[in-house]
Amino acid sequence: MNWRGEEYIAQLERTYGQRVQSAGYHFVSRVRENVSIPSRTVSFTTTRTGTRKKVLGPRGSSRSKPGEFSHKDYGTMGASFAQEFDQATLTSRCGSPMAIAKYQELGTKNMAARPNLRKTLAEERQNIADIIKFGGTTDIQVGE
Amino acid sequence: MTGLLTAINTYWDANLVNTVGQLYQTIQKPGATMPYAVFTVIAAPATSRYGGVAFAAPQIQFTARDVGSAAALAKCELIIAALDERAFSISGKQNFFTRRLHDPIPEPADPTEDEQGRDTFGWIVTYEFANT
Repeated sequence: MNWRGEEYIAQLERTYGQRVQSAGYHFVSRVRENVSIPSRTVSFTTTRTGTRKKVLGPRGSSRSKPGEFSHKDYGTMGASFAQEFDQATLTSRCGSPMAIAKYQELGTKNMAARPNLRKTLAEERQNIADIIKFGGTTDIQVGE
Repeated sequence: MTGLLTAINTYWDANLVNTVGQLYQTIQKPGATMPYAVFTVIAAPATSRYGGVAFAAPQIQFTARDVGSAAALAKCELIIAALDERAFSISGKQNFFTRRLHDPIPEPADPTEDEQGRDTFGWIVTYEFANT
């Protein structure tokens, strides 16, 4: 009988590394989705020929409220959210290098916080745990 | 949720208003006198378990502001000393236990000037209120 402990641990680290990385990608995609609500009102009108046409309000006509997710002006902040994975510590770090993302997340003296990352993490905690445990999210609703 | 916010305000008025200053929700009043603190509900996820009973674990961010970084940090430490491992009982036999999520972090875009032209700083701490 051969001892294969090291191989087993290496296999475990590969598997769980992939899962942690997947969880990071999942989280970032959810953050991007949450901050993709446009900051301008959207309405529809019907033209003389009967075609339905989308009408966008002026930029900033639908601002986010304190405590909500940020609304999108140009989409630069949303696109800047990314994750980096460290195989040595099996850690995934998610965030944005843009200063505005920090101002929005924590708030400033003149602006209340729009906690994009922490609010998403609170909502996605169960899904992230599922991805790490099972390799994917579970959609089973207990009690329904 | 409203009950918890009321409980926090009541506790604050009884224990912290003399040392940390007035507590404001979401954003301070224009011209608020230093020091003061602001709290914001940043997440209040409700989960459905076993027959549709909802449990919420709201996360609330506290920002202590004062003239000078060290003074603001000292106010934040007072908040930590008062709120760490504390239980809030509200009507309906609900209890919320506090869990601090991180050490104080500086507020971005500091320092900012107040009406007298002094440099003001803020320190942030976040708590999760576990409902039992």
